[in-house]
Parts: sequence; C-alpha cells; structure tokens
Amino acid sequence: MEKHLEDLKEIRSMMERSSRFMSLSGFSGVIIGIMACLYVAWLHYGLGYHFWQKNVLSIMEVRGQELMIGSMLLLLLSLLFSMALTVYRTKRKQQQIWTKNVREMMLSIALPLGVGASLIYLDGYDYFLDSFFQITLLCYGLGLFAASRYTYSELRYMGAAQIALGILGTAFQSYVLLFWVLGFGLLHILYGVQMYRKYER
Amino acid sequence: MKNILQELNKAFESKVRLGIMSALMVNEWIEFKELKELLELSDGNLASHISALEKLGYVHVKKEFKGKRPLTSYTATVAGVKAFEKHLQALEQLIKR
Repeated sequence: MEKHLEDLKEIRSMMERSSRFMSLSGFSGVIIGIMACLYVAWLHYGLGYHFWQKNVLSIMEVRGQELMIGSMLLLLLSLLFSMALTVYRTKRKQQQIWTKNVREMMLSIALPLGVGASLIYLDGYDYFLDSFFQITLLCYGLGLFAASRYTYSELRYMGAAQIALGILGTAFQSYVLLFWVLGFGLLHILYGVQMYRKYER
Repeated sequence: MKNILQELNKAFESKVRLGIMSALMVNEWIEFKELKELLELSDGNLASHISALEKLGYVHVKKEFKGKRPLTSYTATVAGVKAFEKHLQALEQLIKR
C-alpha cells in the first residue's frame, strides 16, 4: 500500500519535472516590473506623456522614436536580467539549462512578441505605433499563456490578465498607459513576489 | 484484491523504470543525456534499464548523428503506453481500497 502510493507520487512528479522547466526565476519578474514602472515614469516626466491624457496621438508622433528606443532598451534589459537569474538558479540546482522545454517555452513567448514587434517596427512607425501599448500587452499575454505549458502553470493566469488589460486598453484608449503599467509593472512584481515566496525561498 | 495485484506489471517494479516510463508518457522524444540528468543516474545504469524496456517492446530507440556526435533518443511505443496505463490504473485501484 505504502509503496503503491509512493510509486504514484513518483510518477506524477516525474511527469511534471520532465515536461516543465521549473527554474524560471520569479525574482527577475520583480526586477522587470520595477524597470517597467521606471519606463512609464520616464514617459510621464521625461516625454510628457500622461496616462490620463486624451490626445495620445500628437505626442506619439513627435516622440515615437524615443518611445521605441526606450522600449527596446527595456526589452533588452528584461531579457538580460531574467536570463542571468534563471541561468544562476538552474546552475545552483545543478540542472540542464538548454532542454527541449526551455526551447519551447522561449519560442512560445518569442513568436507572438515577434509578430507584435514586426507590426510596430516594420511599418515605418506609420500605423501601429499608435497601438504600441495595446499590441505589446496582447502579444506578451498570448506568449505567456502559451509558454505556461512548458513551465510554471501560474504563468497562464498572468498571460490571461495581460490579454485582458490589452483588450481594456483597446476599449478605453485614453487610459492605455495606465493598463500598461498595471500589466507590465504591477503584475510582474506581484507574480514575481508570489513565485519567489512559493518556490525560491 | 488478488486480481488487481496481478494487473501490476513486473517490468515497472523498479523506481528507475517507473521514472523512465513516466517521462516518456509526457514527452514525444527524450535524449539520453536529458533523461540521465532527470533521473540522476549513471550512464550504465540508465542504459541497462532502457535496454530491458526495449526488449519488452515498451521503448523505441532512435540513434542518429548530430554533426559528428551520436545522439540517442527514446520514445514510448504504443504497447509501452498501454502497459504503463494499465499499471497506473492498477496502482490507483489499490490505493482506493
């Protein structure tokens, strides 16, 4: 009886471990969230882009270039931090890093994010730049939702929440930056803290 | 009770084989190195258990080359999946009693 129960537990844990990457750093979520807040603060104080502002387009047209460079920098730093912290965690747990699950996880996020980025960047800042915040929320949400299949299942909820915020941002365009800072800032921090407490302490 | 005990598959009695089959149930293919680290086994230990499962027709082995390095991957056969599911059901029924 005892052995049977133990066997079943072993089976479940092995299925879980072999199909999911369980070393994704939650703490990096906190860092990304803080950086996203700083980015929005810069938009607010530096570029004068206020999130209660009704007339979004005029400022976007003038400041499009800066907005883009800032967002690329944010993406780059986020990638750098989350990868470094994840590699560190994987090494400490003495696990393999470059497994099939990691590749699938990264592809799941990269695909929708790449689609969104090409919409925004490749049309010469013409049409989709106005929807920058909506597109990034929606695409990132879709990516997280898909990636949750290969790592912590909690990522699924965060993905769904980002998508919901993206839809809200589309419906209420004047407040899109508010939704964006809630999604990329607050949600990342909350998720990161939660995951850190649950798995990393 | 006796009947259910007979449903348990002797091939899956060892922890290692249980682990191998569990991993193969949720992955299409797994490479030797990945499986080894997952189960925390030595090369020889894993190879001997794998070949036992292969002889029973539960596991299929694929050998190919990636550049100059040989790459061995494993997948569960239809018979393997069926046998393992039957074993799982028997385990669950035994627990429920």
